[in-house]
Amino acid sequence: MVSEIRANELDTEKFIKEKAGEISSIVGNGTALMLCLAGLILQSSRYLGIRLWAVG
Amino acid sequence: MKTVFINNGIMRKGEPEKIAGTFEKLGVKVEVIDARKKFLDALKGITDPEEKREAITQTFYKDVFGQLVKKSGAKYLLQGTILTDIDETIAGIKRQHNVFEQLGIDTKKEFGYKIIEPVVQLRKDGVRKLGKALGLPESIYNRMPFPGPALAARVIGEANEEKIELVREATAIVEGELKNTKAFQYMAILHEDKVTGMRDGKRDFGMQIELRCWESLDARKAKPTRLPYETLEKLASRLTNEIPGVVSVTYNITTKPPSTIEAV
Repeated sequence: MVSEIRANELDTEKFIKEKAGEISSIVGNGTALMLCLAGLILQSSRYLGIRLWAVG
Repeated sequence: MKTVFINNGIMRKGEPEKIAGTFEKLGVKVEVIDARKKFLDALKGITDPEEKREAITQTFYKDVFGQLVKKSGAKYLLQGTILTDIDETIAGIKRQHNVFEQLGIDTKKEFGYKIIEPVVQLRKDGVRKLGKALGLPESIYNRMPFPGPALAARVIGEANEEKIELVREATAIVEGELKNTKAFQYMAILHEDKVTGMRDGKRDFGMQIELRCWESLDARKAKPTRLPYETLEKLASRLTNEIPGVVSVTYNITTKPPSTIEAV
């Protein structure tokens, strides 16, 4: 079950730090923040046939 | 990390070039993969909306990405799934192409890689807020949504090359005319049924285009934009005069729900 974070409750700085932490535990520190940012760009310009993939 | 753009043949006019250019300006090198034939072949003969979505999903994840991943040895695919995708898929409204775990699908087993979804807790408005806070260009974080099945979602019935091309032209006209409305999303949809029209005093049994233009915050609910009648008349005139075979243009005034933003 995915918990929702509403836009008006979103602390952007905290969110990015948390996501970077979560992802770093999967792929390593070096690429975590980059992946987080890339995910955001992807969603913003989503459905354009773009996908990013990482060699973890 | 490697960035790829899949040209699936169902994108809007000039989109592959625009996207690669936008990302290059951001310092992200994008490799363009020409997979047009694969997608158009996968869509051949399919008329059911959910089957169409499934064909696109399988071609994306199993065929095209599956091969890319195999070649490179990548272990993860990063994608921008949001909560609305999951809600709509679980509720059975539309099978969004990017939802797997919630449907009990193990992507490692199915496709050979795991999927990372950093913004899955957010909806569209949250993503835009985050994008703005990070200093991304407004052209990126405020970009109009576009469906996963791309223009195949804008063709009711079989989405073949000819129909995709027609709806691509219609989309360019509609997006050009409505770009200053600041609406959440607008589109042209090609209907499957033909209607009787007339041209040069003769019967023309032709195609019909439905226009949609939405006001919404997060895509969960939406209402049609009250477009000026002059704008609608201009669109009807351009679509019937500039696209051969189109004889009818309608404007959808239904709210979401019971309608959805896309027709397929």
